[in-house]
Amino acid sequence: MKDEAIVSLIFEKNELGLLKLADKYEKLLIHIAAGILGSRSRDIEECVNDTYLKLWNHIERYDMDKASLKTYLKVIIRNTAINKLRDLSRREERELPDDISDIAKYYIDQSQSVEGQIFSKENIKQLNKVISSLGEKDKELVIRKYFYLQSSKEIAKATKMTVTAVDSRISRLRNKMKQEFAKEKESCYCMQKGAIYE
Amino acid sequence: MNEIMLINMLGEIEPSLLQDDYMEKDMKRGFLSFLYRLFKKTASELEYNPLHLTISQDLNSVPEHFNCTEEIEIQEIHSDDSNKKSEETNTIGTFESLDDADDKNVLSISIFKKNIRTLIKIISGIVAAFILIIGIVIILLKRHKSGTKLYEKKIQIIY
Repeated sequence: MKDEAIVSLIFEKNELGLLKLADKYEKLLIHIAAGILGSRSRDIEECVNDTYLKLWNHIERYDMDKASLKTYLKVIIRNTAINKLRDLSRREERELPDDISDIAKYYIDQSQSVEGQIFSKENIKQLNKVISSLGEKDKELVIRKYFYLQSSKEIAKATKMTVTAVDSRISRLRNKMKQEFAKEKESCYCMQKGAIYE
Repeated sequence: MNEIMLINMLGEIEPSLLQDDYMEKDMKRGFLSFLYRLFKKTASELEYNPLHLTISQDLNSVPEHFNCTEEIEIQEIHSDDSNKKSEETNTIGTFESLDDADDKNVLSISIFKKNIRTLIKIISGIVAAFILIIGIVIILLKRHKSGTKLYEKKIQIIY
């Protein structure tokens, strides 16, 4: 079944739409959630169900022109899994899964201390610009590492690079992005200042 | 911009920047590696099969009221089998490394060579059997033809 048909079924609140959606994308969603949460099947299942529920409840927000349904689902499941990861860090007993990636572990450890960090829409715009300016390979590395929270080992396997090469390239990219981000921020600030003076 | 902030910010990134198929590729690769592992597993099972079969047959044939000594013997057979297997895997070298979680998708040259060798052996066996069958058929046909000729000649003599 085509995405348009699935979306229109969900829009009409027809449960068949969810069934078709699950048929088409469940494997992908499980794969993404498992990459972030490790092999905790209960959490993964919850994550996937939450994704369906979010889509069901907010289908009117979905804009077909902006992105495909698959991309939209990818973003939802990723954010749901990250929230789940944050919940894991909040749990008192902290039963951390053993098989999650190093970056996910780091996120669990650090997310509480940097929870207060806020970022505006301007920041997101700047980040969008910075990421779109990256080359295809660099973009893949950044997305895999910081969007899908894949470990360096997994990235190395997927991109046919060595783990050390991946790590060093990502570190260099982060520095580059930091500089670009600062530049973007500065230019934005100057433009805002200019607009105020005008 | 630290890593945590980057992770949090990427949650609100423009969807058009995420029109990738990295995960799909990974899934496909995972499926292929699963197939490869399955192939490898069946190949290794085929290698160990004669011994394994006899043991499993022995175990099946053991009566319900067998003695403890028999059980110990069977366990010994099993341990011998596992020891043999471990020795063999040690000698193979990189073969066992394929079973490790770390190197799931790495194509070991030694196992690849081994598979090719067994494949070549099987193919050459089939070809040899085929040639043999064809040879037998040709011989039979020739004999049959000469037989009919003699029979025809005999008939001619009668006439």
